Amino acid sequence: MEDKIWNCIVKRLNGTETADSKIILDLWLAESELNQKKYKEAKSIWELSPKIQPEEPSTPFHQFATQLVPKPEPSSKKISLFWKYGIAATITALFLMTGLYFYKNNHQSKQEIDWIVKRADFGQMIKINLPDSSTVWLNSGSEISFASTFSSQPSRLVKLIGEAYFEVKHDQKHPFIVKSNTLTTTVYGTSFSIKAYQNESITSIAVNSGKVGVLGADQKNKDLAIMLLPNDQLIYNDINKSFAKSNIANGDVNSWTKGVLLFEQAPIEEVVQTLARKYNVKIDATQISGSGCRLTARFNSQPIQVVLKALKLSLQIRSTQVGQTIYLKGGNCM
Amino acid sequence: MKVDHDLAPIESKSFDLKQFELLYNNKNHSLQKYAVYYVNDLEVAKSIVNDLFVQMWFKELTPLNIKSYLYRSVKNACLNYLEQQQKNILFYVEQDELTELADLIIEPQKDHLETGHLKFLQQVITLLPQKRQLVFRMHRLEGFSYAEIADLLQISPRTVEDHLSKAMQFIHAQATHFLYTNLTEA
Repeated sequence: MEDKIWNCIVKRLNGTETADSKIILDLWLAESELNQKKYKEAKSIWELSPKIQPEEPSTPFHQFATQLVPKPEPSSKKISLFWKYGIAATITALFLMTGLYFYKNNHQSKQEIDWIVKRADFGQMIKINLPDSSTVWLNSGSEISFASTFSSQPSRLVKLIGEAYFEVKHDQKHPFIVKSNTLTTTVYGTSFSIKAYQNESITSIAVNSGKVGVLGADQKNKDLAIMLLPNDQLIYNDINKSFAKSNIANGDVNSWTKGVLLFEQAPIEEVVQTLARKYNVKIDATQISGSGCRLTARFNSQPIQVVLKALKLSLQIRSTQVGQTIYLKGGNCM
Repeated sequence: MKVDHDLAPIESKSFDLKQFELLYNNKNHSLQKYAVYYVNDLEVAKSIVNDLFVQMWFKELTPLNIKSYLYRSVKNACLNYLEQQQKNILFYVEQDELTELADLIIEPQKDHLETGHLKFLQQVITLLPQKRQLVFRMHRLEGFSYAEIADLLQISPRTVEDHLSKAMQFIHAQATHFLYTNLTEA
């Protein structure tokens, strides 16, 4: 109902009022003084907004303007000068060769491989297309990097910090390799999810489709290659260096890319970290750490209030907000 | 004072540096935001807008409707870039989810009167989700019509109006609440 009223308000303010919207709005205004006040406030917002100052350019003008004056090429100038002076043949040749050598080196250093870094901040989730047309969904507080020469290398190498869901384009000749924490994951054309946040001791890999090979990167597990099939989930614990394999429902591998929050016997400390990243809020859980509380719940794109309410109802964890931080207390789990 | 460059008479053929600087300072940021909408990459957006201004300078372009020209050029450059990269236009569902976040945390403002109002308004607008924010800016700040916005963002005029009314609703709600919302009350 409110949406409709605001639509009518905007129509009137914009001067595109229809006969119908006029009737609806006039009726609503006649209902109360509060409504009339609301309309007046809306009108002042509408009229004030064009007066907002444009934001500063990211590159200040004086810096930008340096591009407006063309600069001469120094290296080519150097070579032409040598030609001009017409020194004895051998010496000229020597200088020329030295000059070309330096020019070539200079030119080559500009062709260093650039690493492209993509990052999703707290509260964000982004979708990236890789040069081989594979897609990657990055969860909050995560980062991937890959070389600018990605497509021309023998392996398609990606480094991951955090959580990502990959849909890899099939290419039998060029394995797709993800390096995360201490594990290396290799595929040829599959879809899978990796969770490897730096400050967490657990790395997990779950497969949606295809075959995934996982190799431990540290000395102890170097030869241990584990094959994962669809609906397999591998959980690696960095503290006791153990692997555990379990099942995961097919839709759950990438449900987070659709805004779903899924917890299955998740320790409360992990829940708190996930909430802080997803909602970009500060949470103080010092009073409940070590409570042994675990959460099993699923939330479909819900605001944080709903999750906090669930914590209260199921685990007796109360939350209070002081300033910009949420404090958690209680927790009846032992 | 905001200078409307669409109406500024172009006296000489050569591009005036002072005028150009004014145009750059006035439009650079909003054009960048607009480019990000298409390419979803700030660095690429910056470079597209930068190249446009450089080109304008060297070609001494003085279109009659500068604002329209700038936006259309950015749009074309973005679409070319996307075609080159063979990228699909990215989905923005998660951007809309951030509305909840925006509702929750806002810096408390002590002074709402006069210039305080403007500053507050400016800040609140940045909390809008990307597409909605773009629509609001393009209509209220840039003065584009629904049809023009629809064309520039590749959405329908109905959707433009819808975004505008939802933006107004959001801004009004923020203005009346003043302080932060209590996150623990579900």
